[in-house]
This record gives sequence, C-alpha cells and structure tokens, in this order.
Amino acid sequence: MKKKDVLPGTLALMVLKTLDVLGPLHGYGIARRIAQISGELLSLNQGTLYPVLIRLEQEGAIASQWGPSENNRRARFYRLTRSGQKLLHAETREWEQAAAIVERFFRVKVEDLQ
Amino acid sequence: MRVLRPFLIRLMNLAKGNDQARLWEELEEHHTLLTEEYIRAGMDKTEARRQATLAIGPMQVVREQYHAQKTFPVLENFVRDLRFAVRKLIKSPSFAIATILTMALGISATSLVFSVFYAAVVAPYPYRNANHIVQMGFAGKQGIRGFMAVNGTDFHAVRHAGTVADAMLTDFADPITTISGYPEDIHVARMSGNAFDFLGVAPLFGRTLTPADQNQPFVVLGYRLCRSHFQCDARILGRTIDFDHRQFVVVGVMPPRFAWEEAAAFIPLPADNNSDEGHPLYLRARSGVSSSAMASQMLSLVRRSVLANEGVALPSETRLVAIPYGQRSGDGTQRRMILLFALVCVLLLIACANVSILLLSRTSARGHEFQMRHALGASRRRILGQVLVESVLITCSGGALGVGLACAGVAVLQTAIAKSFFPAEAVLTINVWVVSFSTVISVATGYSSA
Repeated sequence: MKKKDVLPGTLALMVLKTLDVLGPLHGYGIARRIAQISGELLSLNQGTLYPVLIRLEQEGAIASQWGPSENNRRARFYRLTRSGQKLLHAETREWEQAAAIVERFFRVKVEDLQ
Repeated sequence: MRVLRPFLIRLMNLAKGNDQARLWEELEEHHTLLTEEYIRAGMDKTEARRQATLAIGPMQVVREQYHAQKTFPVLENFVRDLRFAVRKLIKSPSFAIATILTMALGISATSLVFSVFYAAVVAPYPYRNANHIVQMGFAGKQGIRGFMAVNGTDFHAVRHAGTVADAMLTDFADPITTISGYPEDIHVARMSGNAFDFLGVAPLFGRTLTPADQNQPFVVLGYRLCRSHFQCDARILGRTIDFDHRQFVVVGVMPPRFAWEEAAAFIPLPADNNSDEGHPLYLRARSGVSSSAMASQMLSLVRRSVLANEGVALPSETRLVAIPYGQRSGDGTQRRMILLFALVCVLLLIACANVSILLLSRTSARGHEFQMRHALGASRRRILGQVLVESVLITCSGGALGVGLACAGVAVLQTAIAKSFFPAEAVLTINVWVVSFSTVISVATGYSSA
C-alpha cells in the first residue's frame, strides 16, 4: 500500500498517545514507535517531530529532561504531564465523535432516506 | 491558559535570542541511533549514515519550523523584511524620491487645507455648542436689517420662553484707558450676568463674571490684552484697570481662543430693569426645537413688547430669522473652503494612484526574483509579506514627510494669512485627525499596491 503523509495536527496526538502508552521516551524512540504502530504506512520525516515536541512542551502537555540513552550518551527524554493527559483524552473524544459521524454517512443507504 | 503559556514563553525566547544548541544535540543523537539501527539491519556504515540523514528529512525545514515555535515569526520576518526593503530603496534612489515626494506632496496639501478648513469652518469657536448660538435678525427685502435687542425685563421673558434654552446680552463700548501709561481706546464687551455661563469657556486664571457681579467694578481680561500689556500670570488678579476714569479690578483672564466679538476685556452689563435701553441678544434653542420655531416665538415677544412700550404695532410682515453666530460675515468663505478641500482630496487621490502605479510596475518587473525565492522554499505568504512591507515603507515615509511639510506650512500660514480671514477665535494648528487620516491613507495605498 502506498505510504501516506501524516495529516497535519495529528502528529501531536500520536506523540501524546505514544508517551501515554509507553512512558517517557526520547525523540528517536517516539519516531520509531510511531512508525511501528502505523504499520509502516506513514511516511514521516523524522526531523519534523522536533518542532512538534517543542510546541507541546511550550503548551505544557509534555515535559522533558536530559537522561542517558541506550549507549550512555545524552538524550532528551519526554514524558506526558497531567495537562497533557487531559488534552489527550479531550482530543481522543473529539476524533471518535468525528469518526462516528462520518461513519454514519458511509453506512447510509437509499432506503434510509425515504 | 493553553494560549497564554506559549505566548509568554515565546516572548522570553525573543529576548534570549536564537539558541538551537539543544535541537542540534537531539538531532545528532537521533541520527546516531538511527545509523546504528540501519547497521544492525545489515547496511554498511556509509549507506546507513546516508539513509539516516534521508529519514530525518531536510534540515533547513526542521530548523525553521523549530525556530518558528520558539519566537514570533511574524515579528522577526517583519524586521527582516523592513531591513531588506530599506536596502532596496537605497539602491534605487530616483524611484524612492519620486514615490516618496509624490505621497508627501499629496498628503501635505491635504493636511494643510484640512487644517485651514477645520479652523475656519468646522470648529472655529471654543464656545459650548457654538454652532447653535444665534441672533435674531429682522429680515427685510434686501437682507437683514438689524438684530433683535431687548431690555432687562424682556430679557427675563426671553430666558424663560419655552423654545429658548438660554440667552445672553452683550453690548460694546470703547472707553478710554490708561493701561499702557497713556490714554488710548479699548474695545470692551459688557456681558450679562449669565453670559460666561452661556458661552461655557473656563477662564485661564481666576474666575469669570457671575450674576452677583452686576454693577460691580470687576473686569475679566482677554488673553491678548493680558499678554501685550502685562506679565500674564496669576499675579495679575487684583490689579486695577481704568475705563473712562472708573477703576475696575481684574478678577480673571480668558484663554487664548476666547475672543468674543474681538473684545479686549469684559465687564458686567449694568442690570437696570427700569431702563428701556436694548442690548443685542444671543440665544440658544432648546434641544429638539427648530430655530424657526424659536424665531416665531421671539417675534411674538417683540410684538408684545413694542406694543406695550411704544404703543405702536409692528408691521404684520415683519419677520425674524435666526442667524448663527459665525455667519454674519464670511458666508462665501465657507463654501469656498469646502470646494478647496474637495479639490485637494482629488489631488491626494491622484497622487496615491500615481504612487500605486509606480509600485505596481516595479513589482511586476521582479517576477523572476519571486520565482527564485519560491523555489528556495519561501511560502507565498512570506513573499507577499515582504512586498507589502516595501510598499508600506515607501508610502508611510512619504506620509510622514507630508505631515512634516504640512506642519511647516501651517507655521507659515499662521503668519501669512490675513487675520480677517478667520474669526478671531480660530486657531490654525495641525490636528490629530489630520495626522491619523494621513497615516491611514498612507497605509491603505501601500497595502493596495502590494
């Protein structure tokens, strides 16, 4: 299947969810998990993760600190904050609602409308 | 809160400057980890590094997006565009001079004429509701044949008439004074007790005349008299001045714009209810009452008074008309001023159109420059923003120069124009309205050319 580009605005959501499920990660870890979860169906320039990370940090949804990476080098680890969690729940609900509405339209048959 | 926090952080970052050390370090580490993953997957070292670089994506884009989150891109872009625009202008001086001068001339002409217009027509008087102060004139076949004047008793009746909000009496005298050390004439106005209240102008020092001052030897000085003959400050209160050998005590000084009928000083009108002497009457109608309604009420009052005092009836075709205070002379001036102002606005429009054409022609010749910038990654919004900044820079500098020229022009006009052109109370200065109007025009021109 052809790879799709990430929908704008959803990358932040994916980051939040990844951190929620897997706990604190550094940038590389987040990128790998997102690629994994999407089943390699998303084409993602991994560098564009970082502007999203700094934006989420500025909004207070995630917090970061330096820590040791797998090779004992320095890496920046990100974790979800409480307000980030609330944000994640709110956005998830919105997505589910939007998806539900669209699904109803896809299921509509001619007979239903008469 | 979600919006406030990033805003404040961006503000702080703006002050701290461009610091991308953290981004570099994170990206380096990311690249190293990715390379190691590809090596584990079987690539050789060089290929792994290359694939890692590709996977991360174009560095410049990442850097720009990262930086855009940290500060206010709009502000930084604006500053950058401004500097670029200035450099470009310096490199093409004849174009810059042509456009800036055109805008400047258009705006200075308009500002200047508008200042004159404002001073002469719109707001020449400092009195309260100056546009509603009227005199009643007897209308004959050849125009106005005299103005209504009343004595003390009738004045009382006028003030209490249903259509009248308030009224005042003034008349004039030219006594001899020795204020300068030698005898000379001085034009003095005698005001009814409520006159200063009617006119509604606060004194510069001291106080104005009140009904309690009737028949008292108090005088309020006009500003010009005060400046020309004395050290004009609060110490003048209490000095005495003589008019026709009578001493009057100075109780107040009026501000520069108060020059009622060009009188140099103001003394109380002697209130003598028994005298038949009539004094010129000025009135203001109650709100909602038309001046013609007030005129007809005044007419019946005059008829009654004439019948009572002189036993004769006024001719039945006598008519009273309300003449606004400013219009007893110089009526044609107003219309000419309006025409002049309209013409100068057209001039400004032409100047703006010229400048717009010049700007447009210049921009259309730069097509390949824009394509190049677009290819290098500039968004359309950025390119547009830069062009906009250029245009606004040109028009606003023209506008600023124009306002400066207009200020100089006003200074020249103040000395050059005959004093009789304006009512004595008019003050010819640059107006805040003019300046803001000029700014708006400048920016609008720049914007529309972008």
